[in-house]
Amino acid sequence: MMTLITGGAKCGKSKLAEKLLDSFMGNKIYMAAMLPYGDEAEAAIKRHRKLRKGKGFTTIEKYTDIEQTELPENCAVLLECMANLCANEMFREDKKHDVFSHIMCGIEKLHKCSEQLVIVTNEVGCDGIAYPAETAEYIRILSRINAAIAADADNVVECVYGIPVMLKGEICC
Amino acid sequence: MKMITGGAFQGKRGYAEKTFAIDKIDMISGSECTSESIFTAHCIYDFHLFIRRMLDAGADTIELVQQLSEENPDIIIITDEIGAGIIPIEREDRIWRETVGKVCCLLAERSETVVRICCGIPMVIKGNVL
Repeated sequence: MMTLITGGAKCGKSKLAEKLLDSFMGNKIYMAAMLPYGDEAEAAIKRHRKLRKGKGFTTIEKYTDIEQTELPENCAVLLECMANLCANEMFREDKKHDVFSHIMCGIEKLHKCSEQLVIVTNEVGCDGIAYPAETAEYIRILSRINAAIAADADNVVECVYGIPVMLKGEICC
Repeated sequence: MKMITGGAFQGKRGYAEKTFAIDKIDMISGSECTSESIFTAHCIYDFHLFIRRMLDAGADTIELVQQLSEENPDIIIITDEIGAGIIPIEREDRIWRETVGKVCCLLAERSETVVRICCGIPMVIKGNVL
């Protein structure tokens, strides 16, 4: 089972993602992709940790190369967030030629090795601003990844100010 | 409380006027209204700009919207969705974008009806419009 959760900033995506795995009885893995650099990133990480506390997640920090993750049997994975992972892969020093294929390969493996995979991403293409080439390329690749995951996913949900709007499939929110 | 959201220029105000029979005169603008006027207003539009002005003035926005929902529970709030883009370069813009997300989550939770407008087409995502 794969679920993609999208939406803008601070609109309740993480809360919903965690809620979806509330009733999962096996190993719950939280894959954190946000690099802990800067006071705002640190504050966001702290806030997310507090939100997850007591919910039975084991945290794995994986900023790039998610395909190299060893997962236990009978596990559910919450990957957060694709917007960070995509940026980390695109702007790493030893950048892979094809970020899209590299990430999708990783997603395929996580999907295969977990009973439930919940991916949190971010909608980044709706502010109407024309960005320099590098940022435009980031928007293009992330949007392409989101679309490819959505095509394979059982469920796709958009969070609108805390309200889940189903785009594909059916989940109990 | 009712909330109408969506991207810029999607027809949110027109929808509010028509659906909830509001006169333009009964709407206050978030870009220029006073912070006190929201407690008695029938409807506020550009609420995201109101939040920006309150942030710039150093107000506690969470506290403010909690008070709003308690003192003016029938208000209709029209706001742009501003979080679905690239993280802004300026710190103030980042704080604004995230604060609008947080306060709107709180207001949506306390609203009996939330409507999202895209290309002029309304989608009732919480409650119903009678």
